[in-house]
Amino acid sequence: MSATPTADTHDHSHDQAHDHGHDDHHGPMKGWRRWAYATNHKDIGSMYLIFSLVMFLTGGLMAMFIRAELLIPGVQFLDPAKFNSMTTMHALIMVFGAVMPAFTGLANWMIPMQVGAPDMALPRMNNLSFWLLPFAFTLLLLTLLVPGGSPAGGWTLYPPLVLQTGDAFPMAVFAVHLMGASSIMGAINVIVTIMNMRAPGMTLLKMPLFTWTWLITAYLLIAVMPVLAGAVTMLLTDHYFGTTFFNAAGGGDPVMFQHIFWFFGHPEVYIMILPAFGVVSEIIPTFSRKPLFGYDAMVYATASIAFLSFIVWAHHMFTTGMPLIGEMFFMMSTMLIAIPTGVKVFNWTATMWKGSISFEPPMLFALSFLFLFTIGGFSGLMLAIVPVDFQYHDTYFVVAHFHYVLVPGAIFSIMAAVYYWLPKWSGHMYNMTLAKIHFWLSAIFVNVLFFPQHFLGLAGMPRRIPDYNTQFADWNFVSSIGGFGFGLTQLLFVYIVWTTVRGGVKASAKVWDDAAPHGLEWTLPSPAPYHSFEEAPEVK
Amino acid sequence: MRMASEIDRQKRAKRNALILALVALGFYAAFITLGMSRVHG
Repeated sequence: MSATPTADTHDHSHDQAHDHGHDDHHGPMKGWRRWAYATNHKDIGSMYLIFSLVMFLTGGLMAMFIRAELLIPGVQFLDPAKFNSMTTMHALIMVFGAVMPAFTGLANWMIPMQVGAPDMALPRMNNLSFWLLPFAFTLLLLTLLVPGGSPAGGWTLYPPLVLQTGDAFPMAVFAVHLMGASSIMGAINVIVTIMNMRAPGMTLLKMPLFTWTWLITAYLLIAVMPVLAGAVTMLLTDHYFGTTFFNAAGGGDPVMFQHIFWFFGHPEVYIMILPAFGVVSEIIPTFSRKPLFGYDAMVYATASIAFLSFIVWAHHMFTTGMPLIGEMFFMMSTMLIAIPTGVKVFNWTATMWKGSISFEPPMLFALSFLFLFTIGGFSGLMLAIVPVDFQYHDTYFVVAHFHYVLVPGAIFSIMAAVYYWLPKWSGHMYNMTLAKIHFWLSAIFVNVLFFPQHFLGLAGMPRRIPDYNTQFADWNFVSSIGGFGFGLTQLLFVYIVWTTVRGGVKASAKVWDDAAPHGLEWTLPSPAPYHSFEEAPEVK
Repeated sequence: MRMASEIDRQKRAKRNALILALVALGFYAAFITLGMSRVHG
């Protein structure tokens, strides 16, 4: 614990105010201490992003196993239990390890810079939020090695199936608790940073859309992550302490787990997509060289989507035998979400209308988000229709739907954000040609991978099976080829990011000079200094 | 003057964080209580 020469060396006998002043000026520690004891929002943001990339590649490797198994009919190398383990782990790692930490990393980097703050409001809690994650995911990945294998009941962890998990069960439950604690602390930090650390003049309705969407996301996280924690705690006590929350034999009800899980799970979907909306709302105006069309409407639409996300959860459970009135309610409330989402898609399109558009890599990813996320939205509307869902439920149509929302939706927006802000973070411009190749290969392969899954689902192919009828062989083959292509393409992304961080052409402060991007982050030099704004900027 | 207001902001941030943490704990407790209330043994 000895301090390095560059660490805080001031006289601790000073008063608190004086100490605080000195804290603002020290540089990074050296070696491993810089990362282990990190309290700087940029260092923690970088760690979140690197962690998320490692998890993305780990979850992606599992996806490759899944697509290899499904390449041709017949069981190849994954028996049904191992196949289901792979799908469960793939989902848990991608949702909690890749997408959510990536957005938290972006929040850590960008929110203090966008609101004109020197750092996040609670830097030590920020350190704890991050460092819980490697332990959580080590624990989760170790479940692959224990007797009985890792959980195989799907990321939804439905009882009674999940209660059949072997020794891995308490490990998975504890891992989920750790992820939840990390997310809640991260969310608290985002809220108090935005609410308490904004520069003078930065009123709420002057904040950049990325910050706005994250503020709303953070409230969602605080509301629903404890619900997931409660659900898995009850699973744990059912398994080990003789309770019967979800066991009909003891007066409980397994369907109640589904209600509780999806009360968390549906807002969780929006936790993964609202920050993506924020990213796209930053990028489209820049590369259209126009202000965002309908800024206020965008904020209100985001808040409306967040509100509606709490009253639609049972659309995941139409086939559980709910009363008709319940099915009607959840069908209608789900369809209502199309209204604020439509407002957003309209506003992004209207922003581009008569704009001077250029197609740099961030814009390419943002535009592809706009088209492909909308496809996921439309298939979601189809699934919202109760009698139609009876047919599609638990088929590959659902798999196609949520992958369209999450891959060319959430993940493309993360890549758009990295290509947009990486020169600001690293001080170097990346190789545009390689980044465009990365985009085109990703955009083509993601459609080859997921579009045929709509056809498979409509033809009746069920989810979570390692073997299938030969009638599904052709489209599964095509989908797997798309999967391998998409997976390999992402190695190019790793190469581009790595080489850009290591060196390259110097980026200017505004990075995208001819597009004149708006926002306080572009007033800082590239790379951004260790402490963003030591003197709060005045926002007019 | 600016230093004092920095400390005020930090204090306010910590108090707000504590309130939000209590809200999160409240949700956790509420949903387990809901689970208990729905078991009819």
